Amino acid sequence: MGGLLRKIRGTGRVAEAAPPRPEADPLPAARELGGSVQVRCVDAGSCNGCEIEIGNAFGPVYDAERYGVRLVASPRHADVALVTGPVTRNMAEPLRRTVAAMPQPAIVVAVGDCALDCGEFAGGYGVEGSVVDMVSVDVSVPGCPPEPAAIVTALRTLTGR
Amino acid sequence: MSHGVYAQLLDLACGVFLLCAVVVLWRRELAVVVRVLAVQGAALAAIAAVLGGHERRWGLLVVAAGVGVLRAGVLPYLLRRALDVGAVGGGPYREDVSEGRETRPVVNVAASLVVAALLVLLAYAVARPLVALDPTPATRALPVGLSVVLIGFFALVARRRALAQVVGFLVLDNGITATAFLAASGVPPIVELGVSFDVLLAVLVLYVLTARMRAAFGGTDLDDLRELSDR
Amino acid sequence: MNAVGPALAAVGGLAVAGALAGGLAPARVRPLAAGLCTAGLGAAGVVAGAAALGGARYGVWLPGLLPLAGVRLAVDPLSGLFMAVTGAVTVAVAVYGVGYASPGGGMHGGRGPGDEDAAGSAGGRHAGSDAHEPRDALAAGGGDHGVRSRGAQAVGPVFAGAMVLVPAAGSVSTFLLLWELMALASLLLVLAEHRERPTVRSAGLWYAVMTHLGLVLLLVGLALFAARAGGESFAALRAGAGGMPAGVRGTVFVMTALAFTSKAGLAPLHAWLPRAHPEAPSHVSALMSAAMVNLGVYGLLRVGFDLLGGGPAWWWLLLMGAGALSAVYGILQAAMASDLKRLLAYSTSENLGLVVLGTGAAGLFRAAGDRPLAALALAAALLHVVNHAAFKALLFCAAGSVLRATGLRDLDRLGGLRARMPVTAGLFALGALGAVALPPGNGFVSEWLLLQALVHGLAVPGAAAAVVLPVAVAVIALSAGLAAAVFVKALGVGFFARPRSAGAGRAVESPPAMLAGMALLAACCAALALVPGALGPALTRAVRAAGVGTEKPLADGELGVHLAHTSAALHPLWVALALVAGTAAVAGLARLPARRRARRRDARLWDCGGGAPTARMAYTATSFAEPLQRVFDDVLAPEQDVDVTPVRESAYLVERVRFQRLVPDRIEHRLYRPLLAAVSGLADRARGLGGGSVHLYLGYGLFGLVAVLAALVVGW
Ligand code: SF4
Repeated sequence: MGGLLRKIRGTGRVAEAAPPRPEADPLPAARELGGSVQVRCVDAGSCNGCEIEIGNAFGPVYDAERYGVRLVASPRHADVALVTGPVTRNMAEPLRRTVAAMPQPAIVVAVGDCALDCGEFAGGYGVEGSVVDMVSVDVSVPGCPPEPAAIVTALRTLTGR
Repeated sequence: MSHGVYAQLLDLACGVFLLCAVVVLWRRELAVVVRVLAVQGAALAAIAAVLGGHERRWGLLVVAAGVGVLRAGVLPYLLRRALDVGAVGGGPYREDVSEGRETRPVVNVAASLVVAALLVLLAYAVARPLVALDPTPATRALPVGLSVVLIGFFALVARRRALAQVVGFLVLDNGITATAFLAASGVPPIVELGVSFDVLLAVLVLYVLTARMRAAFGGTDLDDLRELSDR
Repeated sequence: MNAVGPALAAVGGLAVAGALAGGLAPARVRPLAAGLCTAGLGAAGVVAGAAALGGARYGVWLPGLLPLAGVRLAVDPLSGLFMAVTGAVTVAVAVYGVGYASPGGGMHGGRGPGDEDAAGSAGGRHAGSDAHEPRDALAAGGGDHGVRSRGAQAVGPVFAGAMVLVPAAGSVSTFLLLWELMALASLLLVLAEHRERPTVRSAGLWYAVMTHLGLVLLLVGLALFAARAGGESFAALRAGAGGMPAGVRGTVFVMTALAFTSKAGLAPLHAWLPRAHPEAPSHVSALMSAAMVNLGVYGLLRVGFDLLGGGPAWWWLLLMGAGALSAVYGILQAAMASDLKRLLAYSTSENLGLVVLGTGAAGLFRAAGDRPLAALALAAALLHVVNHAAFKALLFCAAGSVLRATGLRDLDRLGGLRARMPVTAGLFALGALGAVALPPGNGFVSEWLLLQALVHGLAVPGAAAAVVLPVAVAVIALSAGLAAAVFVKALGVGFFARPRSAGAGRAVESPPAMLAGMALLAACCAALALVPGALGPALTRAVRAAGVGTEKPLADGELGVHLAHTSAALHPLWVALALVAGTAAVAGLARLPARRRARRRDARLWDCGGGAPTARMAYTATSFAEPLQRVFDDVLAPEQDVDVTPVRESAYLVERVRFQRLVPDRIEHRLYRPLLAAVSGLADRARGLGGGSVHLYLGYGLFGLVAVLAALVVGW
């Protein structure tokens, strides 16, 4: 316990200074959320590269939570679905159900090239299509994998903070 | 019958009675043993008769006659017959076993006699307080009856031949009857009749059983029955 | 002229008539005829009990009825209470039994093959050490065996009659005779379904052995008592008890208490109960669990308080210990059980534990000289006997309905019965409410009284009281809490959600006779829950008859419960009304915002995106009990066994995982197993004595005779 406290004191604050608020107008649908966005991640078949970056985006350095974004454990609690990867056959129906299970307005953010156009895995035998093909995507974050900063920026367009 | 004569007759009969029981343990020839048993039966009848004569209870004399016929006549005769059948049809292929003799008793003869002596002592010791209750000649002879019961029981344990065991059993029963006579001048005739009938039946059953054993095992060594146990 | 005598005669007559009807009537009307006789004798028992509770005393000696001792009956309010309870349970259960034995029931149809799979290899089963699949639970078809057989129908009325008459016994011989009649009749009834399930036989064996060991203890204890007192009528015992040395009194008490607590199903002599009660036909289980076990308590009270006239504190501390142990242990095992009837049986062990705890407390207070408090504790215990009889009979009957409709006792495979058997489900819920000791259930009132007695008992001087009473309070609280978990499990897993097996899916509501019997019991439960105060005068008389206190523990003439010597009062009717009002208010408030927001959207149940969960994925009784089992890991010592079978090609690909968990009865393992092993070891060694040689056997005889004679000689 003491060790942990000492570690906390010794490490101090590692978060980078907040970049300026993104220029882009927040989505009209996101305005209803009032700057507090609950996010559910769905891995529809990614290579986990995107997941690592999302993890970093919510880590201490990029600290997405300070902009009003929070990860939740169920689509029932979520305003936003953060979807990664090409959509594999087994995940197509669950993805649709997840989005359907979210309260309205349900916003979908596609993260990574794969989510946008199947990227690296296009044409794979297990791939059903990109996220865009399955559900209506509101925000997309390109990159393979996208940088955490890009993910944070995309999320900030939703919170408007 | 004067008192002195009565006491002497009673003592004589009881003496013969006890002696016969000891001889049953001593002698190995079954034929002899059966004859001794007949003598013992007669002695028993004599005890009953002396008691009946002394107390002028004529019913007791009738019982004495019945006992005499059964124990000195019928039962020895039956045993004798069983023995003869065995001697004729017995297993010639078992050398060490002669059906007519108790060759290998569980306890040997010398030890048997010592044990018999100890049992008699025990009987006398046990009967002391009983005798002290009412010291008449009859009760004073009570330990004899008890001794014969114990000796009969011991013969049952110590003898291997089925026939010898039947004899032991009969000695035991004689002892019980004698005790009854001496202690209470006999049980009611109807009970005595019932008991005697029982004994007769038991002997008949054992008679049949002996024949069966001989057929099955070629001998009547009771240790052969060990194979019938569940272990 | 009082009503007790004729009513008792009616009980005896109807028992015989019922036995004849059950034995001789044609199969079609057999259950009806026997059931009517049984119900009639139950009613007569209620009449006799009520008359006795009203203050009528009755005593009679019938020398012609039995050689040597004759039959001696003596009825006082204490007997009256137990007769009334037994009679009432008998009436309801007899009505129920008519329906139970009638042909029909859902499980007689073909059993789906899916049933077998549903049990599955992965299903973690809690089960007793030797609980087999209780699937083939009930006699199918014909009337030649099972509950409908001549034998079972003929013995039923005898059992009921013996139970009603046991409290009326007025002498040791009469008492023992009726006691044994009751034990034998119940044993035969337990064995009624022995052809259907092999477990019945082992249960019957356990029951037979334990009940007869109890009988032997009772016989020796009471014979010792009678010999010292110089007479075998209870009046003679009562008169003779005062002059006996303390050692003899203690011996008598301990021996009889062992037998009586075993009959009451108290740990550690409870082992027969969780076996025999589940395996008996359900209406018999109800009778055994709601009526027969009470007679153990009756025996304790009769001998301990009335005949021996109380005793030193250690007697009662012993009783409190046994009561506390079985209260906690019973309810823990119930929490682990997934067999519905086994669960109920363990709960019986718990409730009787509480009753005996109260009895012990009463004795302790009495020994300390605090009569009013002793009376209160005993009144609480007696009220709990009444309450337990009502709700446990109801619960066992409801479990029997479920068993009859589905062929299942295993909670893990039940479910969905609320929709298919709504009345039964409702009745079970009512019984469960009584059992959890929460308002507005009937069990709450008596446990509250018990707690009051114990809490006020802290004023009693002495180190024992200062240590034992707080612990007892904690035990009651713990067992009440666990009971809530147990019955939430039984009700929630058994009746709600979706059916977990084909048998549960085919269930249909029970025939009217069964529902009527249960409704009677439910009415009793409700009455006891709402106006327990009505029993006040009766309890006062019973307590007085037990010789515990002459004061009124409860104030008369009120619907609520008002303690006469302290300021505490409870008005269950108001509590219930307040609860109803509160619930209605909360429900109404919850509706309000919902009405305001009109926009509604229908969505499918969130199932993690995969397909809809099957019934096999639903929360089972085992899962429900798992957290509790973890908490009490050290006490319960579960045995679990994981068996992984990989496919042939690769060690990393799993073909099958078999998981098995048993929660054994630990007392049984620690106490009974070594004992049984020692006995059979001795027996094995004794076999060596029988070598098969005739001479050896004769030699034993001679040796024995000579030894006895020699002992005589030395003795002189
Ligand atoms: S975009 Fe790149 S990092 Fe993200 S899932 Fe596809 S391949 Fe992996």
